Amino acid sequence: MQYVSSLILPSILFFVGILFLFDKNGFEIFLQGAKNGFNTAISLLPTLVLLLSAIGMFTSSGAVDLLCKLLAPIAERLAVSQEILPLLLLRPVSGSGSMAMASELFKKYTADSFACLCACVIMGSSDTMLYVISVYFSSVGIKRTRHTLICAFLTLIFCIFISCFVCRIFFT
Amino acid sequence: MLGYIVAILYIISVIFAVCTGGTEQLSSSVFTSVKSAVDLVLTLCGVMTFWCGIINVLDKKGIVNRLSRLISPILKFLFPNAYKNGACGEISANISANILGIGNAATPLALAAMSRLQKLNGNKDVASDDMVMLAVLNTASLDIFPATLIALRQSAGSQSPYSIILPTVIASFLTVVFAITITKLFSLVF
Repeated sequence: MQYVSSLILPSILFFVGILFLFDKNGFEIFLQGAKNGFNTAISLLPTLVLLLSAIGMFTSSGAVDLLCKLLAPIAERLAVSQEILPLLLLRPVSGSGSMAMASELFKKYTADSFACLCACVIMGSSDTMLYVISVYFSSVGIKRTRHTLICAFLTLIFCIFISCFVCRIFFT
Repeated sequence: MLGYIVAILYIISVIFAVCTGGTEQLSSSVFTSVKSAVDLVLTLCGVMTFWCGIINVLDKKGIVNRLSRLISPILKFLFPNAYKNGACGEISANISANILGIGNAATPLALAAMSRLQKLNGNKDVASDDMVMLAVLNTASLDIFPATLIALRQSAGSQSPYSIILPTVIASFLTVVFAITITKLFSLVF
């Protein structure tokens, strides 16, 4: 499986190489698209600076610890392991941060513990919500995102709940 | 929307830092995160320049269209307006990249899809139904092979690093179904 997915990118590139060989305009077409991609990426900087500074402040201020304490009883109600609460709080805001947190949990509770299995499944079936939303909409200059945030938030809650549920069926 | 989130995070963080005496840490975290934002954009620059170029080639040669014909019944339901206007190419490429786990290709493709959807959008300040659907779908990961996590488990000395695949696929699928349902329902209200 890992091997198959590692072949996808090379085969696309092989195909593009053949296209370049037989089409004189291929290179021009590539440059045109590439320029657009570059401009979009650059235009994201102001949004990301603002967002990441807020997230950095939030995680360094110690507010996360208090939130974990506040959320512990709710997590218990939903049968979500308390150990993974810090990870759950980081997941929507930071991809690399939540990955690092997962790695720490592995060290603390061993990778095969129930809490860590839950953490893995949650990580694998969710994405950095805040990053996705802000980058997508700011790249096209949308100011009102309507129901995006509430839907994404509810989806994350559902994802956490269903992941722990599926894990309980599989691993206990 | 983002303005409110940033405002809330700023205010909570500052109050907290003042109460716990961590103001110095707070200030230094601002500079490290600003730097990491620049790093992120630089990485994105390379990836986006490359992938948008490749996709433009594949698009102009009609390959992206063929791909979207494969999943057209799903696209027709999820993105009715884009489907009607034949603008589903980038969307289907984004969905495919997500499923195949080529994560660094998914973002450029999604952004290309967003700018295509923005062209069809009547009010340029307000997100269209199709845009919301695309964003929410991307916050729920469609990935069928969580490669990074498996590698992480392996390095942490797990007895069965691959045991998470099936539960992840099931949880992902159910989450995506939930995301689609709720987004469709909410689009009727908002």
